[in-house]
Amino acid sequence: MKNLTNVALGIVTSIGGFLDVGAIATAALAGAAFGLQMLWVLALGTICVMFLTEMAGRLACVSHHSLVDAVRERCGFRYFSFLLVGELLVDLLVLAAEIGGVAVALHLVTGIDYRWFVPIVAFALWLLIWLGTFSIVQNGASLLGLITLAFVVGMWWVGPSWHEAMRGMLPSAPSHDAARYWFTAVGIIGALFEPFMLNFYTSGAIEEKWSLKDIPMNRVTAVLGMGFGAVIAFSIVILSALTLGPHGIQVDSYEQAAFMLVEPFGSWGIPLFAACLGTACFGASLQVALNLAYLFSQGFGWNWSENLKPHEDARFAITYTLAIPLGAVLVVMLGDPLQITTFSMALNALLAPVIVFPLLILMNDRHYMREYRNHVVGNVFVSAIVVIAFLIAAVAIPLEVLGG
Amino acid sequence: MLRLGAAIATVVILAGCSQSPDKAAKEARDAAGSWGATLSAAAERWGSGEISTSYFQSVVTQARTSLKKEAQSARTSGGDAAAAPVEAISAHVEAISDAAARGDRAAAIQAAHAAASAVPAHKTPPVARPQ
Repeated sequence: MKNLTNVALGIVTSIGGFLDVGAIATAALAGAAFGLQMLWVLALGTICVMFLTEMAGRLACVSHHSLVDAVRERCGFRYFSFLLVGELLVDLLVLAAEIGGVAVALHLVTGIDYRWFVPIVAFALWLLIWLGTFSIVQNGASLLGLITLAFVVGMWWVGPSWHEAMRGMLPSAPSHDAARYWFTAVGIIGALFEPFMLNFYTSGAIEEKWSLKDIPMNRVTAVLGMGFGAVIAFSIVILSALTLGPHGIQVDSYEQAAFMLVEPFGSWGIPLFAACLGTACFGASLQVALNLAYLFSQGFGWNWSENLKPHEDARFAITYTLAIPLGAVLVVMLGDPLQITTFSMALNALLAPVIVFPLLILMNDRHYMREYRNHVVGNVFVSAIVVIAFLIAAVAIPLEVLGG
Repeated sequence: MLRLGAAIATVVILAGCSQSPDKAAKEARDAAGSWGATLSAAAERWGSGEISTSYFQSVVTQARTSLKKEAQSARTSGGDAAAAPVEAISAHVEAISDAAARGDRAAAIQAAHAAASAVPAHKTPPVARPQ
């Protein structure tokens, strides 16, 4: 019974934790600009993230190492430094995007400039991490994130043609604007396997003392949780394709994206969209801020645990205390949270190989994984997707950014 | 290997930097069309009471800001001709904003429809829905 409860909780928290500012923004962009044509990217990315999440969880269950901890030990400090710099830059941008997402959500319901909310959101975020424990941060925020199921209800309400949706699952070349199509594709992939998520997942497993007996639960969480989470992202693409694109509305700002829920929910549409965006981004910003603290603490061998009092792991607490205001400053300085989001998601795809390939090395290491090593299918599939996403990102990012 | 990488990077960057006037004009037209369609939909929703006045005003403010940026960018890359569609929509934004401030929903809808028809938006094919 306890196992069943754990599995249910794992699935529920995965649904809530799956969606963040990147998933919402890239799915809305894709649906408005290309209809259902990009569903296949989402499907492919979801299968890949299921593999990656399962691997990361298995690593923690078998080796009792978090991902960063194991990478530093196996690949050396020099490689870790490279990873640290890359992930620090990308995580700070993602943190800025998530804080910006919460601030924009508050702006959507109040009409007040989102920048006024940035310091308030940042303080609330810091306070919750400072006072909370890991289970409060993880489960509380993720349970609140269940409100994002409104996208699924909305999609059901407006009713797409399932035949056409299934056709979108087949890979297809862009019907127009190829550069934007591929940039959006890497954004979707980047939003699905954000590097912070893998280390956060393994750190959470260590915090919750996972062991070999948790391997089945990890597998169920990875497959069902990520699968249900993906249903929400699919719903956003479909809603956007049904309610925005055919009217000629592209998603250049969150004000435009919010219209997708007006058709199914009427006057409740905008407040619901704001609630979905706000809770999803707040949950994700907790995870990114904590991951930055995990990254430094595990890399440099400091005390770390969200379950310890801040004075017991002072350097861990200082790291998130510095990271959160930095993210807040970035969102105010860079402006336009939607652009920060799409750009940081594409950067995620660029950074993915730096963290995924060491994970694959670890997953095939007899010393770490014993008889729980990877099968060849997982290795090949994940490597192929990550390499393809990296190559497309390497070309699409300069074209999109410098081409304006 | 390093040289080859540098050469590829240079080609990609140069290809990206050289935004042609045609491309700038197309991007400006797309953005203008999208904002015209957004304003039209928002005004209709405001007219039917589905969105609040403050939200409608937020949309109008965001449209004004984005169109201003778009016009500047189009003018830099493609000259005044490229920025013309954006200017055409911007002219209606003020009328919509005034109507919103007065609470005149009919005038806002009329001005928003005029904005949408000034620069037709690029629409994706409608997705079939079951009967």
